[in-house]
Parts: sequence; C-alpha cells; structure tokens
Amino acid sequence: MSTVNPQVRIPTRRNTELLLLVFAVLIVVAAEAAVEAAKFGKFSSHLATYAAVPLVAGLLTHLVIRRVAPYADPLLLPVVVLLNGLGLVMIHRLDLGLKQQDEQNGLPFPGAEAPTQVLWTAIGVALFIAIIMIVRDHRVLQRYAYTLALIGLFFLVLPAVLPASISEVNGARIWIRLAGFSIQPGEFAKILLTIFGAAYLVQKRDVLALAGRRFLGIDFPRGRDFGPLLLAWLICIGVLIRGHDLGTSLLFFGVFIVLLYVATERVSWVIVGLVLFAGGAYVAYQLFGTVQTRVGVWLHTFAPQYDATGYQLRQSLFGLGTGGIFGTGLGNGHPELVPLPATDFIISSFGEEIGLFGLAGLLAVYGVLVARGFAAGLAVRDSFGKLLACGLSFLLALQLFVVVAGVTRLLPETGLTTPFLSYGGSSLLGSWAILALLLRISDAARRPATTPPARVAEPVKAVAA
Amino acid sequence: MNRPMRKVAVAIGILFLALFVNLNVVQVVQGNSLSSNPDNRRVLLNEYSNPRGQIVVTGTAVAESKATNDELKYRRVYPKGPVYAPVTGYFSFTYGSTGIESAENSILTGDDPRLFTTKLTDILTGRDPRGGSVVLTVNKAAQEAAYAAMDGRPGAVVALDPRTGAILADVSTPSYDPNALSSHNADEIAHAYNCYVELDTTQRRGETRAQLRMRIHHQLQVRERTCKNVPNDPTSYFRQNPYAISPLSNKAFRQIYPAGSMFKIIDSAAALSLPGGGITPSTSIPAPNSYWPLEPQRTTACSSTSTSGGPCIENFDGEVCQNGKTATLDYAFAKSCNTAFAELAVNKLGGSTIADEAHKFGFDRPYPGQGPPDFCDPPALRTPLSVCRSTPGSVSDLHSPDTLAQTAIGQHDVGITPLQAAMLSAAVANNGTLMRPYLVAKELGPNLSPLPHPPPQQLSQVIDPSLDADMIQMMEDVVTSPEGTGGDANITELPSVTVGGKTGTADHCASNSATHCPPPDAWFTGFALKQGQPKIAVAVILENGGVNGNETTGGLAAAPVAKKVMLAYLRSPAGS
Repeated sequence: MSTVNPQVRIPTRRNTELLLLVFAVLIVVAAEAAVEAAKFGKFSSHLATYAAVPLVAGLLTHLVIRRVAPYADPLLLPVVVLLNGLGLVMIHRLDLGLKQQDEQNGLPFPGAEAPTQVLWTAIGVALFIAIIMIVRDHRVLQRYAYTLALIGLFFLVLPAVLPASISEVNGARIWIRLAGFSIQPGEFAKILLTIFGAAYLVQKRDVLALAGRRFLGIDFPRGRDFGPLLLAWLICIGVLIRGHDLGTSLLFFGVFIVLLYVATERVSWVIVGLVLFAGGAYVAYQLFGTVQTRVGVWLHTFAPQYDATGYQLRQSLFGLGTGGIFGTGLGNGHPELVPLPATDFIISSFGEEIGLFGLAGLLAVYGVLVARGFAAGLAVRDSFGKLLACGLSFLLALQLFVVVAGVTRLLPETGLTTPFLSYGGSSLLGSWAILALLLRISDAARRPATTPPARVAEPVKAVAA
Repeated sequence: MNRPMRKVAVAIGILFLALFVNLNVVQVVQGNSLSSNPDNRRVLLNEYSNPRGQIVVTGTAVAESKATNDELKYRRVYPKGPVYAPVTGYFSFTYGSTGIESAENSILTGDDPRLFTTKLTDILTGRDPRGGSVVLTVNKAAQEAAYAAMDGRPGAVVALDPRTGAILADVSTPSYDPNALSSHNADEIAHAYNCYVELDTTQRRGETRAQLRMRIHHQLQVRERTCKNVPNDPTSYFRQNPYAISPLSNKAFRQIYPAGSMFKIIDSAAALSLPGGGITPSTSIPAPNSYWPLEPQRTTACSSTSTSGGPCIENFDGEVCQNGKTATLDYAFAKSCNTAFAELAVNKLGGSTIADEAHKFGFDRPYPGQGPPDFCDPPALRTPLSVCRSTPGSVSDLHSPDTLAQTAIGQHDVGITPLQAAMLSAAVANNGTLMRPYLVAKELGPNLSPLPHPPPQQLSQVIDPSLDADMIQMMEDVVTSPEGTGGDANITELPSVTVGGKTGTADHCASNSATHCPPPDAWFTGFALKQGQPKIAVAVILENGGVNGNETTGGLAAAPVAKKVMLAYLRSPAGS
C-alpha cells in the first residue's frame, strides 16, 4: 500500500467487509442451528461444517480481495457469503426432509445434495479467485470481446447440437452431462455475452444513438441499425426453440435491451425491444406446448385440467400461504412437498419457513447486492465498466425477479435458478463469476485516480506463497 | 450514461416492489385459504406433529397417539382395532379420517374454539399443544360381546341405553383394522385400503354380463393373491358376495335393510294408540291363512307358482295363525302372523296412521315420487356420526292396499338401519319415550377438564305411557310364550331380568324371481328390563342369516347374539 498517496488516502473498507463477513457467518450458523434444533432437537457435527463453509469461503476471498482489489465494495462479498450460506443451509434442510419423505413412501433416497453444493461452493470460490486475480483491470475484457462472444455462443449452442441423451433434462436441452457431473453452459454464456454486449455497445453507441424517423414524439433508430438487436432476438428465439429454455432467452433479451438503452439513452430501443419481445412471446406461445401449459397453469392454477402440470405451483403457493407472515420456522415446515424445492423453488421453501418477513429480508439482501452493483457502475469512470456493471447487476436482478415472480404466481413460471441460493453448480459458478467482475469494477470505481491498477504478476505469487 | 442507469435502477426497484406486494397477497391475504386448502398436505402433516387426544371407552383408550421417530411425529394406534373400528373410524394421512376421528377432530387436535384458553396457556408457557379426549358412551362389555357373538358373520349390532339414548354398542362385521390405515407408510396404507374397499362391480358401457363376471372374478383372484397379509382380510367375504359393501362402512348407522317383521312393532303401537279403536293385545283380529289385499273376499291359498291372481300375503311357511281365521293381537305379534298385520294395516290403520307412527319412532316421512331419495344425505341425525334415514316407503306405497299390506310386514320399500331397529325397542322399553341416540359421553380438554355437554334429549313419545305396558308385554311374549319366535333371547341366568323383543326375517330379493333369492336377513330387536327398569335395547342383523319362508329362523340366528350382548352388559358394572 506504499503507493497510496497519503494526502488523498481513501479508506479501503476492508475491515468493514471482514466485520460484515462475521455477521454473515453468524446468521448462517444461526439458521443451521435452527434447522438442527427443529429436526433433531439437538445440535450435530454438521453445525461445524455449515459454519466452516461460509467462514472459509469468506476469509479466503476476503484475503484475496485485500491483496488484489483493496478498494472493492465492502458489502458485495458479505452479502454473497450470506446468500450462499443460507442456500446451503436450506439445501441441507431439504435433504433431511426429502430423506424422511422418501423413507416413508418406501422410495430410495437419491442422495443428499448439500455435500455436492459444498463442493460447488468451493469451485465457485476458486473460480472467483481465479477471475479476480487474472482480470486485474476489467477494461482488458473489452479487447477480447469477440473471442468471449464466440465462446459464449459455443456454450449456448453446444447442448442444442449434442444428442439429447447428454443434454436433455426434464424436457429442456440446456445441459451437458458427463461422468456424473452436469453443467448448464448457458449460465456462463449469459455472462460472456453480457461482456460482449457491453463492449460492442460502447463501440457502437454513437451510431446507434443516431435518430432515424420520428414517430409519436419519439425518435426511432435508423432501419440499418436494427441489425444487432435483431441478431440478439434471433439468438434468443433459437435458444428457445432448440433448448425449450424460456428463462434464459428472456434473460438474454432483457439484458441486451437494457444495455442498448443505457448505452444510447434512447427509450425508443426499449419500445422496439418490447415490441419484439411481445412478438417473440406470441410466436413462442403459438408454437410450443410447454409455453401454453405454463401460461395456462399461471392463469388457472387450481383448474382440474392443470391438475398434474400445475401441481408444483400449487404446492409452492400452499407452502407460501402456510408460512404466512412469520413462517413456520426453519426446519418446522414441509418445503419438501414442492417438487424441485432446492433449485427452481428454493424461494418458496424459504417463504414457507421464514415467512413474509424473512422473504422480504432476503429480497432486501438481494436489493443491496444489485444496488451496490449499480453503484459501482455509476462510480466507475469508463463507459465499458459502467455498461458491464449495469448489465451484470441487471442480470442478477432480472433473474431473481423472474424466479420469484414465477413461484409466487405473479408471472408464468420460467424455470430459472435463484442466484447464489439454488442448488446447482453452473448457477453457483456463474453467480460467483459475476461477483468477481462486479468487485473488480467497484475496485476500479473507488480506487484513487493516482493509484495505478495492481500489477499483474507479483501479487499472484504473494498469494500463492 | 448515469442517467439511464438510474432509471434502470428505479425500474428494478419497481419490479422488487411488485414482488413484495405480490408476496403480501399470497402469504397474508390468501394465506389462510391456501394453508387450509384441502389439497395442502401440510395441514395433515401438522395434525401428526402433535399428539391427538384419546378416544376412551369405559376407562380404556381405543384410539391413542404413540410417538414415532419419523417425520410424522405421532402414529395413531387402535388397541382392539377391528372391534371399535365402526366407532373410532380411521386416521390416515392418505385417505383422511372417518368416524369419531373425523367427527370429533377439533377436540382431538385441541383446535376446538372451546379449548381456546388451554391452547393460549400452552402457547404462553411454550408447552407443545395437545389434543383433548373424547369419552364414548360405548360400553366395553357390550361392544366386545357383540363383536365376539357375530363371529365374523356379516351384519351389525347396535345397543342403546333406552333411558338416555346412549349408544352402548356399534358393531359392523366384517370389520377392518384401522391400524393398517394409520401406518406412516403410504404403500402399506394404499395396499390395505385397496383390499378393504368394494369390488368394482359397475357394468361398463358395452360390457356384457359375462364380461363383468369375469372382471369380478379377476379382481377376486388378485385380492386372494395379494391381500393375505392385510389384517382382517375381507376377501372371502367379497367372494361370498361380490356386491357386498366395504368393511370400511359403519353398517349399523349407514346401511339400509328391509325391516321385515320388526315393522309390526310400529303397526301394533299404532293399533293400540287408535283413538277410541278399542284394540288391546287380547282383541281378536282377522288372521286368515292367505290375504289378498285387492280382493278382500278371496280366501284361496296364495300360489307361489302363478302370479296371475294379483298380490297375496301368507304367513311364513304357509303356517296357520291361531285358529286360521282370527287371532289375538298378542298371539299374532308373538307368532309374527303376516296376514293379521297386513289386514290390520289395510282395514283398520291406513297408510297415514302407519307413516305417522313410524315417524314417531324415528323413521323418515314417506318420500314423494317414484324413485327413493338419498337417505344418507341429509342424515337422520348425527350421533355425531351421521345416521342414514330409515323409510316406510313412498307416499304411493302407503296409499295402495297391496303395497300397504307389504309395508305393514316391513317389506316392499321399507328400509331401516340397525340403529333405527334398536330405537324401536328402546322407545318401547322406556315407557314410550324415544331418546336421541348419541355416542359421545364427555369431551375433555387437554387438562382432562370436561367441556360443557348437552344433556340427553327426548326425540318423541311413540306411544302413551299408559299403553306402553301392553307393548312391553307383547314384546316379552315374543320371547317367553310358546308360540313366540324370539325364545333364544330369553335371559334366565339373571334374577329379576325380563327380556322382550321382535324377530324379523326380511327378504331382500332384487328381482321378482323367487328362485334366485339369497337367504333373507335375520333380525332381532329387543330390550332387557331389570326390576322393571329399562337397561338396554339391542338390534342385531345377520345378513342372509335366515332361511327363506321361515320366520323362526330370524329369531334362531339373531336372538342369541342379542342375548349375549344384553347378558354381558347386565353383568358389567355399568349395567348391573
């Protein structure tokens, strides 16, 4: 830290981060203790495990951040450790519930998910450390924009061209299953394409902002500039057709529209985007039975003709309704009655056991995450950083919104995971990668202008040693 | 670029606000209706998470909750399950609950509004909420004697305390084991349940009779292979009668049988009560060997081979009643002469008098129109278990002489539940005062303090108390006189006990083809008095327990069961 100019010393706030991390770990431990008290009436050795995971993950990442991103936002990491930890506790709690349920029904228990999630958390932390140490300046990403876009498209297309035996799970062809591991490459594709989108729009923003025809008092872009938007739209439709993945295509398109709007400051892009979205949604509704079913389930959740297809959403609503204002208490409800309680429906598992109050708190924690991401975007000096921070934060916010709206019947269900909370490796890895990028941008935003970015080679050794 | 970013952030804020508002709607506004939705299994799972109260019979629990180590923390256990199953019902997390388990659920869970203060104390002191207990009127000695006396034969037994209406026994055989349905293993429960339910005997569209028989045969074969491990396996019962109703049904309250000669109690009470009619037990009434309701002058014998001569009533087995022309009411009642009561009903009483008297005994009013209504909905009464309505038949049945003659001897459209059969004797035994039958003696809070409970209720006065002594005498003569059909019910073992009753042998032919008729149902309804005080009234039905055309067979089969129940009760502390 010798390079810091004493006259303009800006607090790094790393100690604030550490303190908040301690709080986050305490909350996670308290949650696990509540689960064990309710389930076993005593504390088990698991308590140490679920204390150790967020503690180790938090401390490791904290130490790395101290070294390579000292001015990073102090709130982002504790919030993520808290969410990851709470998700782990809930997955563990669901393991207990599902195991009991299977035993009662005389079915074999397919195996606990929590240990796998611990492993994925470790890999996620490793990925985080790798990204934040390799990407010392986010602007570097701009240079590799097209390479990253190609990789992203490759990821996106890969499951669609692989045989269904490898890529299809529950009717959605978005997976790669190899040697017992299954990953959703789309989770990484969406980050890579966001980076590309930000880089591309920074270059083209002046052209895209040019006014074309004026209609109803709004300047619409020139016809020839529609190219990128239409391309994004086509990619999304392609994802939808090949993979039956409603959620991911919605995310792609939403993020692209927002990036376009922020880059050009033209509301007309949003309008054009919404019209295209509406058109795409209509076409999807006409073409795909799954879309029709999901809309039908959404509108007539309790109707007899959706008895089977609407079962999951009904169970989710029952859980939320039973939880009520204060919830049943962790470990005291029956979230295992909802199919897929640990992935798509983990929010309703929380809603049942920690109630409206707890869920509102959880939403607020996400709110902090998104707000700090936007704050980094507002404060950072370069346009690419702004667009990237905005895009990634919006990605998190939109994904959360679509998930929560789906399980609470505000919108049709789309089948996305909840960032950081849900069980699933790709989702968790992708979320940790987003965190690394946001922290990197926030570091750039708060770093004093006189301080050059940390040098590339040296600190890596320092950490390794 | 900051300005649009701020706008995007505001948009996100609005989206989050929408989520929050929607969560309020789902979790608070709709919260109650969602959490109490019948499809929400959490309600049931929560019911298992706290101990339910006991169902108690004569000081011992017949249903109680035992702690388990699985997710459903408590398991319902029924010691002597099949004996008390018609009363307790079952408590299953896949098939819901029946019987007292269902009817008294709010007391057993502790959620009853009357238990509010104890519940509040539990919440404040942090004690786990517990359920209250339900003490039944059922008498251990009577119930267990009745179940043992039935010895697995299909039928039902009901016993009442005539003075209060308290139900002392409610047996339905063959029974089932509620323990098999309260298991915590869904497969086990489903397996047991599927063995207990009726066979599927409805003829499908386009299915021939032969195909239906094959399908029934196939179902029986499957059950014979798979149901052996189910306690109280009813497969042999279904093999005897594939159309038999499920053991899960409480036949004592819910099955409507033809009444047979027991209906003569109603005829007699109506005859004795005729204003200025001057009919006493010793009055001679016409009792020919055959009676043609539409041709009162005709005296030729009924022909069983030819139906051309119109409807004809004859005595069972073509017997002669007293002198073959007239008989005293007392004699005709004791010997159960059909022609005497058919003639009495058509010529002296009339349909409306009989319907009124039957209504006083607890029967439903005659139903209008041709088709019978649903007799179980609405029920006649709730004990709190709902009891189906007994019926004298349709309005037109009671109007036309031929059907009225059949009605008077309890045939044609007359339908009666075993509980109603017991009420016939109970009313006569209790000076003509019919008390409302009830099953719950006391409801106790979790701290065993009794909750306010209504006193016994009078339903009606079926006959003037001064005339009731004649009715009692006539019913006692059925048991004691040489011509009586119910001698097997007589209790000589105990001093100062007198028994009265009435037998019934009720035909239940589906069609008119007498050749394919199953044996008739054997009935007995009666009472025991001790030193003139009514102690117990009993009704017994043995399905297909009689022999065609022989009235005495009803008494031979059913009366000994009634005797065993009465004797067991009179020897128990409660009945002595």
